[in-house]
Amino acid sequence: MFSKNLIEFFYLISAALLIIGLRFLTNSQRARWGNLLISSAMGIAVVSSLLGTDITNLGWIFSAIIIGSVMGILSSRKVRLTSAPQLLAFYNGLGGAAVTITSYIAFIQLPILENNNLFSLRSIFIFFSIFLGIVSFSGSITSIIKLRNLLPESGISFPLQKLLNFFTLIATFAITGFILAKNEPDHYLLYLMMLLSTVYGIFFFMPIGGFDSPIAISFLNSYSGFSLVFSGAIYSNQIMLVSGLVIGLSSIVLAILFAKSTKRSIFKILLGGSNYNLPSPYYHLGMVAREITISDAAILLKYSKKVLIIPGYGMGISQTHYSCKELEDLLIENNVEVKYLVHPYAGRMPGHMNILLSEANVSYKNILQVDDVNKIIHNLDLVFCIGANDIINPYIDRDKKNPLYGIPKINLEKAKQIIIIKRSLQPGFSGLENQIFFEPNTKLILGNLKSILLKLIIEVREI
Amino acid sequence: MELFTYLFQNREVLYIILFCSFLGIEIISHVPLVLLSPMNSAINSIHGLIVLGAIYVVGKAKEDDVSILILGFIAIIFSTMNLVGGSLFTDRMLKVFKKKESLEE
Repeated sequence: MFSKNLIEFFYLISAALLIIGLRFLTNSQRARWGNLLISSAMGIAVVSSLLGTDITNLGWIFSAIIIGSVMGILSSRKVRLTSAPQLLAFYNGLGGAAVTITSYIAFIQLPILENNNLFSLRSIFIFFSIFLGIVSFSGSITSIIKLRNLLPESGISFPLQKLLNFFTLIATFAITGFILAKNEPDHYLLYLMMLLSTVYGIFFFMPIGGFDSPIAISFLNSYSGFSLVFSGAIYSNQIMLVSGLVIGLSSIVLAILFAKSTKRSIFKILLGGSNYNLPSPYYHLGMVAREITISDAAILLKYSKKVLIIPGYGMGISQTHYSCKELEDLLIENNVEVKYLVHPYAGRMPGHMNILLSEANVSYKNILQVDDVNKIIHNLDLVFCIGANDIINPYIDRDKKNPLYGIPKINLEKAKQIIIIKRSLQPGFSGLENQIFFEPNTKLILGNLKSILLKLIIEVREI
Repeated sequence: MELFTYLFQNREVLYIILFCSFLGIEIISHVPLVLLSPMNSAINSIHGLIVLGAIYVVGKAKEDDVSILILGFIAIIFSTMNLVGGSLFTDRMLKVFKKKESLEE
């Protein structure tokens, strides 16, 4: 149908659109256009790959594409925005599985293609591609299980884990070398190598605590990015090579940027996971948490001049962002100045809270950063925390062994009055007790966030 | 030695790798915090391009090679889901921002 040159030309256009699209995505005005450009770039690449004269089995290909598209459309619509991290990890796992399968097929076909010379660069690419694909797949599954709270979110680790992890990695590469040296496609050894890669992927992502899951997701992205590079090398496909490199590296940069903005050591997270010894040294026995009735809280809110709302992950799981906005509108009607503080570690991925607040139409201008808030916090009449725990811990910088050490600190100890609504006094996902609950100027309302907020709105209206 | 011959024969690839590395770093280095999630999601959807490899595999397979056809079929389904679902979900996230901006203007 089309000559190879024309297809290559389409690939070039597609690569250009992809890069422009990514650039647009960094600008909030053009971000949606950026995504559209990226999608159409990928569409062009897929269509032009189908135009080649030597492509057969079109029935299989088209039916698979249709099934995949329908499933993709359904899954992207059905899932709530609050469970975005799980969905992203799920898609990433699918990509990883696809890479693994295609590289496995390439392995089966290898002897035919390479005139029985297994020790070629192509076969090395295949092994790297299989390894990265599997790590990305098993890591995604591990992350999903952790995000769904089926495993302790603070991360699991056991003695000698680092050593075992290292050993698994070495063994994986040793087996790969052995298969190559034997110069015959030994399937049983390949299965062993795939099993070890799976174990490595699980061990790599299991100890990463819920707090560092944004970094984990970025790393999953870069793993699949590099697997795409190697797959591109196997099929000498430039667009796969280029886009794989760009996304693989930009994901690493994203992880580093994020780790830097929160002052956490990326190497510590990667080498040993991010969990620390947990017996909390700050928990003072005999301190009492003071509860407040909803009507008293409503009075405090209504007659404050300046209120700061700090949303946490709890607001996400309880889907209370709309009620929160309703409360804000109500307070503004009563001449209360309302601002929000989004802590970079609130939620389970970067920007998680921003998305929720935007969904509820909270103005971007009213969302403050930690540094801005720390400058004005002593002037605020009331700090109102919804479903937040670890991010409002003001004693995170006392001890370097603290699992929260290094994340931006809100100077809540300087706040005049704090009201916290929460499900219970259980520690957050860091596993740490939060002393802010026991401070004299902190008042708590415990229970179901949704019903508390609804009652609060009614009370504020009626006073 | 094969490695060096390969590298010498594929100098262009090395240049591509060099430039793409800088490009990847440069593109991402000025992302505002709010856009980190959509960015992550868009990057995620681009992995769906592995569908090109899967299409190549199925397209080149012999018609009676059922095991490869089935494996490739699954790979195309998975990667298309990654690609289409990822793009649409990114758009859903970004739509949320768009709505807010038009209200402010």
